[in-house]
Parts: sequence; C-alpha cells; structure tokens
Amino acid sequence: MRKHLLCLVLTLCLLVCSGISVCAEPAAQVAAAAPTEEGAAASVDMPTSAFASYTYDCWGNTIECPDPYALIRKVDGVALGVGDLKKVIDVYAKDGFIYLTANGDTEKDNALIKMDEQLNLVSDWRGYYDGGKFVPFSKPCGIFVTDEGKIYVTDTSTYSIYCFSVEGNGAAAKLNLEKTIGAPSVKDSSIIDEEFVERYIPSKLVVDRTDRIYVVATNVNEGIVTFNDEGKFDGFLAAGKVTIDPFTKFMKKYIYTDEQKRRIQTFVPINYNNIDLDASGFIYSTLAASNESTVQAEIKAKKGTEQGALVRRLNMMGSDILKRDGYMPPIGDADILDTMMNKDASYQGLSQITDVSCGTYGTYALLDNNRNHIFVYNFEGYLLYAFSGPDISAGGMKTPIALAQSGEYIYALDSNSRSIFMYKQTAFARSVMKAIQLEKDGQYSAASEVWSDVLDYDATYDLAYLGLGKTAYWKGDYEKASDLFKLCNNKTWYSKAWSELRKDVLARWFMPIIMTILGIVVLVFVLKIVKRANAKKRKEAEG
Amino acid sequence: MKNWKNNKTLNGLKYSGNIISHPIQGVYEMRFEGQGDLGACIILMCLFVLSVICKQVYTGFIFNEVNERTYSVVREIANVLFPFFLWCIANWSVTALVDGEGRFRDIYMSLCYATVPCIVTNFLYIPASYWFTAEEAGFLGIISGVGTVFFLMYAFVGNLTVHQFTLSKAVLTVVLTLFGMVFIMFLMVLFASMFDSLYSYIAGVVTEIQLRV
Repeated sequence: MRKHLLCLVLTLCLLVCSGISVCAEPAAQVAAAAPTEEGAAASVDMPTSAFASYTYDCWGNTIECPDPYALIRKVDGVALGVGDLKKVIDVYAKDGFIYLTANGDTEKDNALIKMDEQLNLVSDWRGYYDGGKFVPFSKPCGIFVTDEGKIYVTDTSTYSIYCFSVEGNGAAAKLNLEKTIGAPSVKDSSIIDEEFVERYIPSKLVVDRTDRIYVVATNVNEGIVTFNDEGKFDGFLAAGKVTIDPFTKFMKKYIYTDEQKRRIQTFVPINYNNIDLDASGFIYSTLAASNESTVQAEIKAKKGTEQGALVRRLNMMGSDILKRDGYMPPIGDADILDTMMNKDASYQGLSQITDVSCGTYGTYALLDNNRNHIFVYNFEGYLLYAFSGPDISAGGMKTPIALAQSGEYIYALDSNSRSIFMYKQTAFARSVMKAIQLEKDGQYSAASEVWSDVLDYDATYDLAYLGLGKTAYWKGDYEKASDLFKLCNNKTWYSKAWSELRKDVLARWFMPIIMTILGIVVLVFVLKIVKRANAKKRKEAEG
Repeated sequence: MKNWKNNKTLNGLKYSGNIISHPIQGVYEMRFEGQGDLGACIILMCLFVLSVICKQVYTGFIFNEVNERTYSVVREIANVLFPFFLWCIANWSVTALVDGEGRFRDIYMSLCYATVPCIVTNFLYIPASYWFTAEEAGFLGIISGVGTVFFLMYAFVGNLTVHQFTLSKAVLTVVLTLFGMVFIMFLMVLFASMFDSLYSYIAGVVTEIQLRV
C-alpha cells in the first residue's frame, strides 16, 4: 500500500514539474519578444528589404541586428560613362574621392578612374605622361593615394610600381610620372636571389608617411615586400614565424640525418593577399589561412591569436598588434562549425578574407568572398555587424574582391558584374559609430546616451550594454556595471567590476569577521582558564 | 528511530572517513572484513554526479562555461557514469584474468569511496568561484586539481588493495584496463552498427512483403 502511495506521489510531482516548465516557456517568450517589438517601432526609417545583418554573441550564435548599411548605388563602367570595364581590380578611397583600377586583354581596357563620393566620374585616365610623352597603362593593379595626393599604382606586366602626380583638375587632369620602382634587384640585398626576382609580381600596396612602400606580391610567401624611400628593396615585413615543437627539436638533435635536416622547411610560408594603412600609420593586412584547423580551433576556443589570424595589424617591426578581445576572433563567420554539418549549405568552410579597409575611430572592415559578407570590427576586435551577402536581389554581391571606406560609405568592387557597390550607413550604424567616437574621446556620459539610442534600434545589441556598463564602471557605479556586463556576457569586464565590488565587500565584512574569530578565540581561552581553575579548585577540595 | 545508530547505510557513509584517513587499511577491511555498505556507495556515486553537475551549473558568472541553450543534464550524467562503469567492467574483466582478488562489488565500492575528496572539492569550488576574479583563476585550478589528484590516488590505492596486487602489477592492470575500456567501446560501436544494419534489413524485408502482398 505504501509503495503504491509513493508511486502516486512521484507521478504527481513529475506532472506538476512538467506543467511548470510548459507554463514557464510561453511566459519567457513573451518577455523576450517585448523589447524587440519596441526596437522595431523605433526603427521605422530602416530599409525594409535587405540582406540579413547579424552579429555574434559569446557562444558564436548569430544574433540578428538592424541593417547597418544599405545598398544605394551600383555603378558599372557604362553607367559611369567610361565604357565597359573588362576587369575591375582594386578600389581606394582618399579625401572624398574614389579611385578604381581596371585592366583587360587590350590596351584600351587599362584604366585608372577617379570618382567623387557619389560615384560621379571625375577623371578617366588611360595612361600617363613621362617627360611630355604619353604612355598608356600596361596592366594596372593595386592603387594607393598618399596624403600629398600622389598616386601609386602597381603594374603586373612590368612588375613595377609607378608614382604619379596629378596635374590639372577634373576631366582635363593628367598624370605625370614621378618615379618608377622596379622589381627588387639582387644587387640591393643578399636575402633575395634571381629566382625570387623572377617570380615577384607586385599586387596591392600602401605607402607610409616616410614614403616607404609596402607591397603584397603574388607568388611571394616570405612576407610583405618593403622598399625604402629611394625605391630600393629593403626586406620582408612580418614573415611567417618559425615555431619549433619539442618533438621536431628532439628528432633534429638525435635522429635526423643531415640530408633530412636540410629538407625540413625552416620558415612557415605566409600568403598575404591585401593590405591597408590605418589613420595611425599601422598596416592592416589580410592573409589566407595557412592552416584551417588552427583557425577552427581558435573559433571553438573563442580566443584569437596570431597563429590563426586572417587579418593582422602590423607595426614597423612586423609584429602583430591587433587586439582580439571580442566574443569571437576577427575571422569573419564563426558559425561555420555548424554549417559544415549541414551538407546542403551552398557556402561552406572558413571565410575567405580578401580585403581589409580601415575606417574611422579604429574600426576596420573585412571582406569575405566565400559568403560575400562585409564584417565591421572596432579597434578592440568586437564585431560591430556583418552585412551584405551572396543574394544579389537583396543587395548582396556575387564575387566581391576589394573594399574601400570613405566617411559613411563603404564601396565594394564586384568582379562578376564589373561594378562598384556603394553602401551607405543607416541611422543604426551611425549611432554605433558616434558612440565609439565618443568613447574614444573619453566622453563616457555622452557615449552612454548614444548607446541607449542604439538599444532603441536593437535591444539585443551586446556592445551597447557593454558601452553602458563601461560608462557605469568609469563612473564608479560598479554594481550597475557588473549587472550590465552580465547582460552582455562579458566576463573580462565583469571580472574587472567584481574586483572593485569585492573591495567594498571586504571593507564591510573584514572587521566583523575578524572580530568574530578573535571573539571565539578569546572565549575558548577564557573557558579553558575557567576549566583549569575549576579543576584546580576541585583538586584542592579533594586534596 | 530506534535503529539510528545501527543503520548500515549511515555507517557505510561514515566509513568513508576511515578510508580517507587510512586508505589501504580501510579498503582492506572493506574487502575482507565486511566493512562499508553498497547502499552508501550508491549514495556517494549519486553525490559525485550531483557535485559535478552543480559545479558546472552553479559556478559563478566569471568561470561559468555552461551554454544554457545546449546544456543537457542527462548528457552530463551519462558523461560521468559511462566512464565510471566502463572502468569497473573493464577492470573486473582484466583482473579476473590476472588473479585479482576483488569482486565486481569491491571494485565498484572502492571507486565510489575514492570520489569523496572530489565531491568535497567540487562543492568547495562553487562558493570560491564567486569570490575570485578572472586573474585569480589559478586558485580555482588548485582546488579542482587537488580533488582530481586525490581521487586518482585513492582510486589507484583502492584498486591495488582490493585485488591484493603489488605496485608494479597494479600499474600494469591499470594500463590493461584502459586498453580494455577502448576495446569495450569498440565492441559497442560494432554492435550498434550491426544492429542498425540488422534493423534496416528486417525493415526492408517487411516493406517488401507489405508491398507485394
């Protein structure tokens, strides 16, 4: 009888438990839905039909966010009025002007085009003047414009870099050759040989303030080729690091023959594929993943290092100084581990980062030509938003190859439609950028107001909570800060806030705890003394 | 109430104190002199599973690695209990071949008693994880490290005593047991795939008959 009763009670308990969980779920859903509705109401002015923009949370799940950019123009050569461009190569933005290089099989396909911010034609150059003589371009590739307005162009058929100055204005402007930097010469350096000179083809480049030239070259895996201000080959920047594991070291010392030792590669090949210069003069460079499993391991560990990097920020010594504090390392798409299980997905594998473009306030954008997304990161390595995509009808791109930023515009070059896509910031992205700018300037209370605006657009935007939390933290309101850091799942900052909070807890409880312990010790002593005295007395009484 | 002091299970739980303070003697008496209790061991095992799950779920925010969307208690229980019993079965099979004196019951009980330090440190870990910051993660590492090391030590000594092995022979059986575990897992996968094909074969035949008749 008792057994039966027990069974009955247990079943009842189970029923009640499952009932509670069933009831609790819809309630939770309603609570979650409420803020998004609010956000939608506030973002009426957002474009409606578009790609799905997203960010990543701390678990690597995609979290939808409002579209940060909207496609507003799409211009090809014909629309520009320069005739069909056979092959667009590179785009660069400087001081409100957009520069574009295009080449092709015939001489008239080679072009260097200058546009204004709205993509209206300014100049269409098909060649340059070398001492008064007109010389047509042969195969222009990478392009860079310095602060002084000098235009540097690499050439993949003559293996040279040309530096032009612009004479005149508008359509009548012409290019004058200032200097030519040829392929590195064996005479200049002992670290290169004839074989290197033969395979060197300059591709993308940047020029720093001291006129040093950094070139990403095709077929070169030793690092970024640098030339000094006189155009002489200087060396390689940020070559692949040699990492020796204990096993190889042991084998080399005791087992391998000299022949085997000779055959072991002593340097790790590294394939840089694009390059850009940020406002502080540091080089951002993208590279192909040399080892996919390393990158995947870093995604899984949610901690990026130099080993699995797809983008690097290099100082003049060639060391990587990119901050990677975000929820995910800056490698583009992070949920690839799941999509790889899904065999039907049309886009698989790691993001192929092909270009990087530095924006304002330390932000930078990466271009992925696997899933055709553009990722924007802030200087700490947090993903602000990812947008665009492979869906042309939704404002995406087919085969993006190059990226440039100017003010509130992002320009992407699509080699398939041979056109340039112009994305403009929406109110959401403008607020985010404003908040980042204010934070960078140290105006934390102003920044927190802007972050609250951002929350009106997107109530699930983690970075806004992080920004609000940071403001509270700098103000000294650690309790509020720790709540906000918990909300955006940021353990590093929560830990910082907690170590401050802990001081208060210690200050409040240290004395009481110590006094209690002291009190107990004293009590024990007193009791012992009393006991001993009692025993003595009893002994005396007995004796 | 009247049997409170003579309750076997309660005494069995209390006996874990003896094993912790005198591992060799404690396990010897458990094996040969009928000390300890199977019910108490099952309770200890449940406590161990509970402590592991609590350690994952109730750890402070800074050290909490649980993703609530994908966390499954059932999976975590299996994660603990599966290797636990796999070890017992593999050890039992191996020691039966090399003349170990332990019965399955003794192997299981000695392992359960060995989890006691781990239970204690797991439950200590939880309040400690609320106090320390991310930079002081080392302290938490010490806490759980101590638990693991003591667990392994007691498990080894317990196993050695239960079977009345010499040290070298005990080390050898541990290695053999690990191989045995791998072997059992291999057999399980083999059987699973075999039954899978058998099932699909029978299902195929049934469909065929249904379509023809």
